[in-house]
Amino acid sequence: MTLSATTNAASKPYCIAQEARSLNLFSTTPLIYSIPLSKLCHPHPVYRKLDLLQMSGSFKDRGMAHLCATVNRVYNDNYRKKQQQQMGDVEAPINGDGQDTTNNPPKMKLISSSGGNAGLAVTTVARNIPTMDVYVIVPETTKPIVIQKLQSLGADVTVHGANWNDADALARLRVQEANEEFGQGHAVYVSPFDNPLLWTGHSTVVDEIVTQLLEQSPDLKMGAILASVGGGGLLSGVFEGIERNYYGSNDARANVVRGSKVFACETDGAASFAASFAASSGKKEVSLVRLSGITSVATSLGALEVTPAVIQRAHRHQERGESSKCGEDVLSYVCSDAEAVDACLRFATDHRMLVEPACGAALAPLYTERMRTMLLNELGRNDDDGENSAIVVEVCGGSGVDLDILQGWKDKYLG
Amino acid sequence: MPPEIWSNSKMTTTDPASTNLNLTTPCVAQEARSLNLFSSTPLIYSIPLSKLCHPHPVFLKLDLLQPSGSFKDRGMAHLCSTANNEHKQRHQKDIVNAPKIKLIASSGGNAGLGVATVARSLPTMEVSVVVPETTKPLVIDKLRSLGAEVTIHGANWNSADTLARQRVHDIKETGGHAVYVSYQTSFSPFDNPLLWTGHSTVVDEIISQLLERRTHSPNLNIGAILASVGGGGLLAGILEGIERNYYGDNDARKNVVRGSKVIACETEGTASFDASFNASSPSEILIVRLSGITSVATSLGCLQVTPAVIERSHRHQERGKSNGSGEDVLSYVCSDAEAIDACVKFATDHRMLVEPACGAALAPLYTDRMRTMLLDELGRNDDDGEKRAIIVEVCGGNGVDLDILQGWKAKFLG
Repeated sequence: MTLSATTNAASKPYCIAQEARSLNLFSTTPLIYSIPLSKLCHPHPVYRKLDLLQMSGSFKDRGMAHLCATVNRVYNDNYRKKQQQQMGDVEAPINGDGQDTTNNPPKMKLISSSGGNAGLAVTTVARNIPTMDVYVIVPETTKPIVIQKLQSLGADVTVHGANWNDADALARLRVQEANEEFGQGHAVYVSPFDNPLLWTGHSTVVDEIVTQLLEQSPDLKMGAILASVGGGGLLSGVFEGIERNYYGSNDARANVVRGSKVFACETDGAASFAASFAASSGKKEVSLVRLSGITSVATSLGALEVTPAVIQRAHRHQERGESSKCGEDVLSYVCSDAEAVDACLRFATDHRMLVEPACGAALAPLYTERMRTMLLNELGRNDDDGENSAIVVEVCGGSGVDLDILQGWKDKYLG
Repeated sequence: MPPEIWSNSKMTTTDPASTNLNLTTPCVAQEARSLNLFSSTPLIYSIPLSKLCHPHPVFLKLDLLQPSGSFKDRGMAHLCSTANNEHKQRHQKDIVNAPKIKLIASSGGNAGLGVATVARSLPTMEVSVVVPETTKPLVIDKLRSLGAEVTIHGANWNSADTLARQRVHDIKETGGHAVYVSYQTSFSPFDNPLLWTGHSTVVDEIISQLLERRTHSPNLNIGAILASVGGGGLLAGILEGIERNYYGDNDARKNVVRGSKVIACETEGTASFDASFNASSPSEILIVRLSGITSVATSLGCLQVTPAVIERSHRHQERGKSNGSGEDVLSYVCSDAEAIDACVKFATDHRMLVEPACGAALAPLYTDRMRTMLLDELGRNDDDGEKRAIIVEVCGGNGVDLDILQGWKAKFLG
């Protein structure tokens, strides 16, 4: 493997969310080979994308970083324009450093509704942006450990509502009230998953994975990528990243994502993607199904319905498969709570990292025999050498877990 | 506000904490690195620990992410790549038919797992591990699954080790190439410096990673580096890495290690470094041998440290005395309860499980009495606290899972 080929290949597509990256609002995370999981999935090598190492504890920093960097820039630009308009033709005073010394804008409010991880992400990211104050509204199901972390990071936390949808309604109301009182643009609603800026931020994960696989070997492809689905923000970003590299001008990168199968992973009781994906199957239009409630331990996946974008993007990926005949596909895998918790425990034993069951849902297809058989069967249909068809697991992370919490789930679900 | 970001991509990015090592100083173990026998690991900012140690930013060197689960891959990688080169030279005329190098270890712990993991990638090597009858079946299975041949022999480690050394001797007698792999320096003085040099790569990486962060945090340097001490191999390597950069020709790198305090961390029942360090003086190195190991941190279970770690510690202290910049080596010993408490808090804060041997290097930050001592030590310098980073070598270790840690928690923390 010549270093020059991969350095050239890699340096270009790190241009997405470049501002957020250069401000260090999110991290490039390791992609690490898993010896035990690769044994289970032989001949496919299995790699873990360790997004649990993002500063807030989950992948959500990616989306929030791009959203906050963008909102901050627009807010500052608008404020500066407004100031200049008010000053008329008088030029802005410039100090000795060449800086515009019109007043700095007043702080803006970011108001987020979150089951925890999104709130932690926006709070962690916005700590680095002096013009932003963060307000987080979380449902009553949120764990005390997460509320404590939010508060220790400086967020203003309100606990409200039986589930995320109730918390979200209050968040939107607060944004409306703040804008009425202080002027439009003073407050911004931050959705935990339903915003194209978040999806673009999340899409950076695929740019990194492609680069990292090429570093390992020019022959490696992303045969499968497994990712958990809550509201569909992460998966929307994964599709965006695959698409960008698929149609990009760099052949080596396009080759990595060609033929990739995307596994959308959920638990039974939070399977909003599975419901909408099945209902939309074979149709041009998206049929969204709204769950009546969340009945899974994986509360971080707890959105009653996914964003329509994730279904649209899933269909586009499947269409690629139909026309290219390279094997692109999207599969919806749903595991039981017990299987998700079992995956968390085995991951803790194998890799000494604690993840939430929401993340365990993306590991269950490898640890649970019935699911692994299905998955390997799917992959086996490709012509590629198995050993060059990598399985990548997005280890999305999540802060709602510690030793006692995991022990409690173990006792409850695995007897 | 310091940047809270790191990366493990080898790519050139604008990410200041990238582990793409733009090392302007030539670094050691290059061949082992290029063969991917060990990894560059992330250096991440810890929000909760930095809060505790304000104004010093705390960074975690995540060596638990090495392929075998602990920092040991570094030393083993350099040892193996060196043996591999010797082998190629010895057999250059007939490399295909040459007999393999036999790596013989007497560790069912992290060293055995380390050498088995590293040697998997080298077709010229075979790993054979001799372990005592007390070794857990899970560990034996893991070693075998990594391709090592495992022999169970003897009631304790000494018996297993005796057989291992006998095997090395026998193979060499018949003209074969055998390498004894152990941290027990009194038996293998020639192999161990290779391990220390391999471990020293951790300092090269830390310096590069701190320099990258300087775009947002000017003059960031190593105020303190905390590392666990078992046989002293890791610490000997850290002191070697500091020395190499201290006397190198790159001023920026030199600046990062100047004034650094090295904190040698152990638990009460494994404090072999503390015993020898206190018994020794600059004019005389006295190695004290413990009568036994009485701590739950069995990975630190070496009865005596290598003299090299005491010698190198003295050299670092002398730098401090002659420069007045504050270089020092301090020996910190925690109780088992404090080590386990640190492991539990680390699991809550960062969702990673480490052994108590590793907890010993976290206890000085999590335990009030020790943190007060450490911050007091750091406070004596004139530099702004926020420039003097505290680095924890998170050395890792395989001997922990949820049940094991819960068991210790129940036993030691009630």
